[in-house]
Amino acid sequence: MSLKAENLSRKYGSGLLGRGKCIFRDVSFELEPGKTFGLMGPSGEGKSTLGRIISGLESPTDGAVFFNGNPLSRMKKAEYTTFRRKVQMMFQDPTDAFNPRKRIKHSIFEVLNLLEISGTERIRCTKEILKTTGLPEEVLLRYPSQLSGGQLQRLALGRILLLDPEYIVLDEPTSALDVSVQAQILHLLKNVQAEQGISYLLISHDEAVIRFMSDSCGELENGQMDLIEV
Amino acid sequence: MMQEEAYIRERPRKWKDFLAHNLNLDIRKYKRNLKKLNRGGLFLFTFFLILALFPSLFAPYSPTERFIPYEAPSTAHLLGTNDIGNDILSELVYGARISLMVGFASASISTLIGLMIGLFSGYFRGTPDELLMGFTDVVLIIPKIPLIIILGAFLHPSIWILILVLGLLSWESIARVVRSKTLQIRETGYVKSARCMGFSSFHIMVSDIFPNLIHVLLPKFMLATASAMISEASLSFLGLGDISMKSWGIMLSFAFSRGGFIRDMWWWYLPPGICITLCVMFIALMGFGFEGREKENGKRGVDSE
Amino acid sequence: MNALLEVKDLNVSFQGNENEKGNENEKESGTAVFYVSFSIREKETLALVGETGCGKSVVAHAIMRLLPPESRVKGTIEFGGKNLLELSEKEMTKLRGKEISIIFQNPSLALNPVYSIGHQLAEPLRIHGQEKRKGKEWKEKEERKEKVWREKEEKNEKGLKMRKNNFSNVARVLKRMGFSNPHEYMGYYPSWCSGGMNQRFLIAASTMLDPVLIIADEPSKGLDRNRVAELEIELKRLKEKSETAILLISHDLGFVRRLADRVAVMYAGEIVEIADPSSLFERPLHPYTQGLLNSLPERGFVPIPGSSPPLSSPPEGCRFHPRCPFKEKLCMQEHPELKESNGRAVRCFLCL
Ligand code: SF4
Repeated sequence: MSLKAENLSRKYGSGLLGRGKCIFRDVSFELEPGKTFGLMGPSGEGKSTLGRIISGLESPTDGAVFFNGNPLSRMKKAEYTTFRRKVQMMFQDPTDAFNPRKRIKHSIFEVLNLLEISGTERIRCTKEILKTTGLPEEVLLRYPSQLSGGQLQRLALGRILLLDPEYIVLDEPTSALDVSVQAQILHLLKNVQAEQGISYLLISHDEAVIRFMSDSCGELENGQMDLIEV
Repeated sequence: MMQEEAYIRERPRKWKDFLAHNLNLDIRKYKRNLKKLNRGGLFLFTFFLILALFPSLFAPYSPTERFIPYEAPSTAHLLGTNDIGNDILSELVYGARISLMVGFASASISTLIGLMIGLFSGYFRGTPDELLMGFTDVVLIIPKIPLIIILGAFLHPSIWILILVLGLLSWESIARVVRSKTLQIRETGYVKSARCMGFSSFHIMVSDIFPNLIHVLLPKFMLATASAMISEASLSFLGLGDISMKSWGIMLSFAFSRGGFIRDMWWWYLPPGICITLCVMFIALMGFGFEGREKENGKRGVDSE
Repeated sequence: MNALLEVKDLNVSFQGNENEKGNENEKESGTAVFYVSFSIREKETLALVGETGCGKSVVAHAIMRLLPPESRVKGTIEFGGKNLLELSEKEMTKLRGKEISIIFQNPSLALNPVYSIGHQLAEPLRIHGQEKRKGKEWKEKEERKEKVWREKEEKNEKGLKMRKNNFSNVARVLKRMGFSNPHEYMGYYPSWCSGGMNQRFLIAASTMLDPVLIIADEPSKGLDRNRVAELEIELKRLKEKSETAILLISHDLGFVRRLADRVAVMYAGEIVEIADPSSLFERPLHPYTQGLLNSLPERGFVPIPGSSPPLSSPPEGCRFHPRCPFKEKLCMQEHPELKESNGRAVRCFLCL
């Protein structure tokens, strides 16, 4: 499998009125299997937008994202479904990662329903997630507002892992967390990567986090991406 | 004497001062009162609801049974009788069902339409949004009451037509509120990750967005009910109601046209008027209460970091 | 030096709202702050650090009396000889802004976009200036004011004078904050300026009345790296140029290290260690402080195992024992006290 971005550009406000402002242009990179690509830069430079484009939530103004050699915009339905399973995204704010009106259990079962897993298999999968993320079983019965940011971020990762992804876009996964929790989450991410061979696209404004996690990295500045030695 | 004057002159200022300095406190008190009102509204509204559901338990006679007309209140007829000898209390009790039904049925229709249109245009944005919101604006400018008068003149006046027209013409504000809320929820992490995980749009709308809209819809629904009841009463009073279904509005209309006012029979025209007012007030209070609670929750959400 | 603010045995607990569902009760009730005592000397910067939910913001809000009505506060907060917890709301309003002021988190939200900077900065002067006049012979002055209102010209003149006075004050403070031509900036609107500039305006606003104590509640939260650096420079300037004490509440350890004169570390509603920054960061005594420092990027993100306990049910004995690598039997049974020796205080059986 491969995930590659080629000459991505994105403009804002390029509607009927034209005169769009370019956020970034000609960004290309490739995610290597089992490795982490770090993306840093000051906020407001479109790092998150780039992340959303890679994970298919938004579309670029120019250029394309290639999954297994096929461009995202011209994919067949079956292919798109595998893409949707294999490329996941994790967001910055853990407090709204789960639907506040549902117990954690339901949010997780929902994903299992999507995968058509049920019965004993369902319980096994849920237990497995809790084991990898190191959370007690009682969190399943809680509502998101009753859990701490660190716990929610772990659960968010666990829920993504259910889908058995190959690529995860991490959009500032720890910047809303405390330092000690940040350290825990980063270690968890590293362990998961070592065990399951997932590649990460790590987006962060914190250079220390990027240096700690990434195998290669790029900096987005003034709309251009430069590769940086780690 | 002088002191007294000064006292009188100063009082409003002191009061204002008090407000300014204790603004927090005042708002709190106000909120607490609101909660109480909400509970009171709920309680009394339940009473009306029971009245509407089981009228036979409360009404002393059947509403169609005839006695001596134009009778003053007595132990046999607590609120007297009307021009054709029906017991007014019984009529009143049976009328609750019809008035409430009109209110709830048309509010349900309008909430449903508003919800669907708002959800759709908020979730998909872009062209569908523009089209639907344009349509909403068109509906917004249709004058409701004149339209119903015209329809009433051409069609046989029926309660169902009334419900339908009231329902079909009053969903714009609900649609707008739902749309703006949906636009907000759409950008939250859980909707984005649900999209990432490949849930269908329908699933996201039903299971992620809708539950977070309920607390906005509920007060809106209540207010729509109250306003539909008022519209029904005023239309019935104008003689456009359905005579076969005696609602409170029609009772008022009869009291007016069949000599209740002229003979000064307050027991005929006053009770339905009071009932309409109270019922609408309770429903509105409940709606405000829900709204207030939602605001508090929203605030706590921001604060609880 | 004598203490400016003395907090003694501060205890804050929240009760669940009666109207809430049972499960939400669970989260809300509980003691958020547990016998916290500290003092701030004049011109000193005390930093309160700790993780989310350790109660550090609650302490700040208790001092400003901004806690929600469901909270119960015990203990004393002494400020200039008065117990803040016993003051009436009116007296507190006078204190806020004039003697104690607060720097809020988000600069772009704290400024009103429809007024010019100068207008907003002059606002505290206007309000507190009025109060001064009200204080003594309130009625008399009020009457005179009414007369003034009647005579238009006089009013205009007087109003103009007052405004001029206010504006020159604003200019003076802006100059102190390092703006070269303050009169130009006073005509600006918040949306014309960068976030960093707005932050400076906010700091200027909070120092406008020369308060003796400034409370900065997470001023660096949600800011960019560059902005944090800017903020740091501003706060440093503030420390040097004015005579205020600062209570700095933050979870950003590096930021705290460079600014504070003393640091208090909080864990699960208690202060576990107080020390000056250099000795705290170089030789932390409490195991929690050690763990916290080790999870910093500079030291390779070594996490503390486990997570903070919920405030509703803190563990028996030392509150840190479930996560402590050095715990002993005693730790699980008895609750350690905050012990002081040569300028540092630690709440741990094994230290000192
Ligand atoms: S008292 Fe014991 S458990 Fe608590 S921090 Fe000290 S060594 Fe650890």
